[in-house]
Amino acid sequence: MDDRFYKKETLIKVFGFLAVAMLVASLWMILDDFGREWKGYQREFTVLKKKKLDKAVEDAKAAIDAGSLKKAQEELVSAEGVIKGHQKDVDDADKAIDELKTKEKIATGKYQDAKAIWDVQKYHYEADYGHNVAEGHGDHLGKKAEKALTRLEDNWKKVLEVRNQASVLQMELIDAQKKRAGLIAARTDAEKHLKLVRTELDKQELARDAEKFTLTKLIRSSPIIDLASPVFRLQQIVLPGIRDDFYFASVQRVDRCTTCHLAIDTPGFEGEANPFKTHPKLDLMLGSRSPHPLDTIGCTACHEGRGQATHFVRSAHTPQNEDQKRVWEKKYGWREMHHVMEKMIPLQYTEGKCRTCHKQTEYVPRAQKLDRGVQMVKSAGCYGCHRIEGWDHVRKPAPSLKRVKGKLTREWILKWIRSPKSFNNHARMPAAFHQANITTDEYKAYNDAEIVALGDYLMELSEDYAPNHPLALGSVEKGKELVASIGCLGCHQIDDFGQTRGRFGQAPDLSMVGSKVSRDWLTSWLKDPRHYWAATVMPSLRLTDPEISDIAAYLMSKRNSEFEGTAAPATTEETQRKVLRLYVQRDPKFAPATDEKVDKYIGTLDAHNLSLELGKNSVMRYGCFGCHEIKGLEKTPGIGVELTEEGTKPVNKLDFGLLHFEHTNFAWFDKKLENTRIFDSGQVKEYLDLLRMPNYEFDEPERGSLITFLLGQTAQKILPPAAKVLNAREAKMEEGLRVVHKYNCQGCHIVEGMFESLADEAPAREEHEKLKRLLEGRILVHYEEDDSLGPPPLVTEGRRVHPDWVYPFLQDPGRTPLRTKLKVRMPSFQMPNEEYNQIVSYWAHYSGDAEYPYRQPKAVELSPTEMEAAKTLFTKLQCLNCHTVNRNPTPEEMEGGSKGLAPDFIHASKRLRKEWVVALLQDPNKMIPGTRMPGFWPDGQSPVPDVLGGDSKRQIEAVAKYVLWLGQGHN
Amino acid sequence: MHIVELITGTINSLCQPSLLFTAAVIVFFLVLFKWRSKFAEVRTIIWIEVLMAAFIAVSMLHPTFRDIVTKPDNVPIVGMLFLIAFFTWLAVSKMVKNDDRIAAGQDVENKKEAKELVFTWPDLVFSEFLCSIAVWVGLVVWSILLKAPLEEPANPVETPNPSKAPWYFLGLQEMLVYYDPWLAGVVFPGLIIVGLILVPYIDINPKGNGYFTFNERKFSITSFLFGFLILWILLIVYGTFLRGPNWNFFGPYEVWDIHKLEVLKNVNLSEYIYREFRLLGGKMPENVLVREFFGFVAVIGYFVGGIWLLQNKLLKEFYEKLGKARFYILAFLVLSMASLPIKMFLRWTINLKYIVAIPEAFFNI
Repeated sequence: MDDRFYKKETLIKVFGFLAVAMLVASLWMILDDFGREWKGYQREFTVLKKKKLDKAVEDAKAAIDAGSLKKAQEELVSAEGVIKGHQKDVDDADKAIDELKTKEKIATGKYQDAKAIWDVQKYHYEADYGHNVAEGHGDHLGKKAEKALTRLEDNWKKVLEVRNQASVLQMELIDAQKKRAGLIAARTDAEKHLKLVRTELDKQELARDAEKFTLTKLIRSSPIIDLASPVFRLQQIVLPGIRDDFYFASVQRVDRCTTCHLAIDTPGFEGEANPFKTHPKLDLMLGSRSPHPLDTIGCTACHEGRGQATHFVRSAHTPQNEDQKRVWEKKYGWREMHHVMEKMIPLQYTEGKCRTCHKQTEYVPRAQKLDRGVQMVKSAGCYGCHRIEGWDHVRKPAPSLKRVKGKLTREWILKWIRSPKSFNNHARMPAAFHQANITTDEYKAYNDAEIVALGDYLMELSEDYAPNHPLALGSVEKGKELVASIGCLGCHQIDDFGQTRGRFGQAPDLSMVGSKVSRDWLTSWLKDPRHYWAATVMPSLRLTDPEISDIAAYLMSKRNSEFEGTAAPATTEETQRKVLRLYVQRDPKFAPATDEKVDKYIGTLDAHNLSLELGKNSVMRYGCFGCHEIKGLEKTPGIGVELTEEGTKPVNKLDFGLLHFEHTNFAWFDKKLENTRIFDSGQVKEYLDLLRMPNYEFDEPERGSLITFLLGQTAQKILPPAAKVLNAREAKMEEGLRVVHKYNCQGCHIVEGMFESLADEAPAREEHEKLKRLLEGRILVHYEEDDSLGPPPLVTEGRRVHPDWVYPFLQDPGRTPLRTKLKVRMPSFQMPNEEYNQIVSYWAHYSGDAEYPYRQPKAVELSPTEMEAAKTLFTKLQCLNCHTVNRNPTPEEMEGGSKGLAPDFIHASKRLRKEWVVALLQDPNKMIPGTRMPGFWPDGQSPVPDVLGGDSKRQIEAVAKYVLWLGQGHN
Repeated sequence: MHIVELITGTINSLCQPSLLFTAAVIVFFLVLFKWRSKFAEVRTIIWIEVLMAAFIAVSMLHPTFRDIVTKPDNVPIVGMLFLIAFFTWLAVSKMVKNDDRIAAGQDVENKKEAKELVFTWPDLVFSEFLCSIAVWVGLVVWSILLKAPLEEPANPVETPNPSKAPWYFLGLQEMLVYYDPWLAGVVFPGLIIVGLILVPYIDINPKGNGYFTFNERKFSITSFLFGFLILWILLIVYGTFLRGPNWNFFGPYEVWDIHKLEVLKNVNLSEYIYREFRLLGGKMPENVLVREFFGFVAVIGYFVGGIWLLQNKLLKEFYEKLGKARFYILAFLVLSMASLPIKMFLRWTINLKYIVAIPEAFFNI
């Protein structure tokens, strides 16, 4: 032992110590695995689920009617008694069945054996000779083959024989069983009745028993053993259309969120705390019958986050706000996962992700926040400077400046550019000058120099324009009334009527317009907007000259005296030279820019040309042409960065400047949108290096919508079935809806299929409806007392009208006064032909069941009986209380009554489809929600039983026909 | 607060590559040649380890330091520092003991192990078995406590900043700061491997075989430890703890600011000669070989002169003992190794970029 190098005792001690350490480490490893977070949740959920299931059983028990239960039980008892009376017969029958069963089994076995042997023989025969027969040499097979065939046929007879024996026994068995059933029929019936009473209870009990945590389950879920067939296991969904891009490979995405979110698609857990809560919008999301079932969409398609992780922190949950962050830090030890690219999107912006799959539509139904974002992008004109795929051909968001000289004065332009909000707090145009990063007096002077230069440049470029319809001003009061009633407020807002749509609507706020334009320009514009600007979407309201005078008088009275009182920005030639010098020094045409060269060039410019040259440079720097049409710059691309994939731009590509705050893209967007120049703060920069994005001063909800929009602009490529691909019908609808949006039809009408409502019980309903009101039918705010005085809703329009009638109507609505009492006017839009067609086509496709494209309205004929019945019904139901036939109602009739609210029947034949009229008469509220038209045949009950035998169907048919008949010009 | 800032600021600036590297080289030679017996005392290593631990513990109060040191990637390197210190001490202390014994005419400490054979079983196999258990326990506990530091999937167009090699290659990556990639990434690593392979053929000194000694193998131990501790471990420490975004230097208490800028105005030798000294009136010759003539002269001169110096002055006995072939290989390897710190010092002092700069042919030294 001494010749050993190491001491044995020491080695054994070390071994002993290490053995213990190994045991401890092993146990620790097992416990660490056993105690994984998600297993804890699944254990907890088992208890929760048991409670729910127990309660369901209790509820089912309580729901059973005690009387019928007792009756059924008694019936069973008495049946048992009856059967006891002839128990011996039953026993005999049982015995007979047993015997027959044994016999039948033997016989069937025999048949199966025989058949198996025969099949083998058949195979050999076919293998040996079948090919020859198939190839037509069946005549020369020889003796051996004949013999084999004969044997095969003989054997088949034997097989049939054995089969028959088995069948006979089977028949006997069935008879015996029938006999026995007859003996115990009373009990069977009683049991059936009892079961019927207990249906729900049995179902619930079954469900509960299936989930019972048995001893086997306990053993299966204990440490180590749980590696074999665990009760608590990872749940995962492989998503067919969504792929993760790992740069060198793209793989199907796998979501394991349901490992902890165990009841996310199960109703009944709405009130539980996370992670056991049911999804709050099960009708829309995840439900098996919703448009986004769990197994196609999963979780991360909308929420992002690391779908494969099964740990609260590592799956990259993102808190909604600071409060939640603090709670999470305490509860889950939450911290940011720096290296995870696809962090969860905070809940308030999730809607943005709809866009990732819904790429083909402009708006996404029910994604109100996103839609508001889309509308903001459109109205604020983000796409003017920033390219966004899919927005390339949208018209420029701001008015053309090609004839601006004829509309505005230089002084007004300068003051407006300096601060649009100082003119009108609801101005859409952002402020490019005198922002937070212009801190020194020198730079402020430079800003003024550029403003003046811009004004000079725009005036210089502008064509001359002479108003063609000057009129004297009329009555302010009458004008105000007209503006309130004829429909201006569908697109515009004016402070007198409440600024209900904020800054970002379809058209400018007119509260200060009197300080902006001249009288002559205004009257000409009101007469025909296209005279000044051919591409405007402002329609003509077919105003008469007195109306124009009155409206102009009212609008010209809307002034901003404070703005008028301030002086326009002024500058000196010297300052302008200084600023131009900065531009020229960077101009590649002058590179390398020596002082001498630059000074010489600037020295050649006189004061006017200096200002123009500076203006030209400023327009290029601030990108005015992104939103406005400016001569010579119509096709110049915008100056901003592309936003197509902004939502997935890596955060380190965003310049946080010297500011310290949360490093997330949404926090950055929020800061940027709040103050576009904020990231300059603290930095030392040359004048031309300063940030130049103009400042919109978006408020918090506006920023929220825009961030939602931006987060939806991703580089992700989603494939069907996860991605929404429009079918032919939906594509047609989308085409039409884009026209609807362009002309802001939804400003006045409720348009079906646009921004759908949430169900009444949906938790987010209130917020949802608030946003919806920002998007649709907003003129109705002014008709709160009686919205039937406002523009009619465009619901079921495709089933309702004939295209041949709509087309001319849209072209000149003035020719066909439908509802004479309405003061609000359907404008004449002067759209291109194609767009009229797209609207009509959209209606037809939305309604789906309308025959399309065109169907000639057939002349209707009424039989004398029908005619008589219809006339009676017309009188009895007092149709003409509201409707008229080929005449305008008198003012007295309109006063107080409903006449003039309902369409004149003279249009009925050309306008309406008969099927729709029938459907309307059956249930007016279904076809036009909120209509004043009463339903005369509720639930198919006729109010006039003595006409046409009280058959409501025939009555409706007669009335519908009669209405159309009236429309054919009869009286 | 001011004092804390003063201290952290001082440490930050002391950690500058030029300062810390120079200090490390000086300390290295002092310890080996002057303070060896003091270093070999038990209390020295206890002090060193305690001070290191205390330094790290106190520095943990600083958020930046804490973030870097506790990053799961970097934890093993922190552990490595303690181990390196301990094993260096262990070797040196045994050397000192043996050297004393040899000087006193006694046997070396573990003569038996050094001279006689021991059994495979149980001496080797059993102790290996124990080691494997210890490693197993260590790995299991480590993997429970520190989750694997996985990052996002590698994106070829979006590399992380700083992009760092695995920790054991950070020394190589640090060399890239001073040398062209083909040298720092190909030639030097190749020379390291070749040099290590050649050690048994070049080193024919039978002394120190199986026991620790310094006096009997001064040159071998010094050159190996210099290469290992200074040119490998210290550079790993740099790469791990002190190199931040854009491979800029950051003090241990300095926030890794991606915007940090350093003046990078490095000048090639030829530019020095033609621009600064106005040779040929400041005009660079067209022909690259002419242009880089001085660079080639410098490089060849370094090796020729260096070998002459080693052969005739510094390592005269070696030349006699080893014979020509062995000696020239040794001299080449030693000079190559020395070229790294020399180039580093040239960079720090005169911003020298390349001695020979022929970017036209991707050939830079």
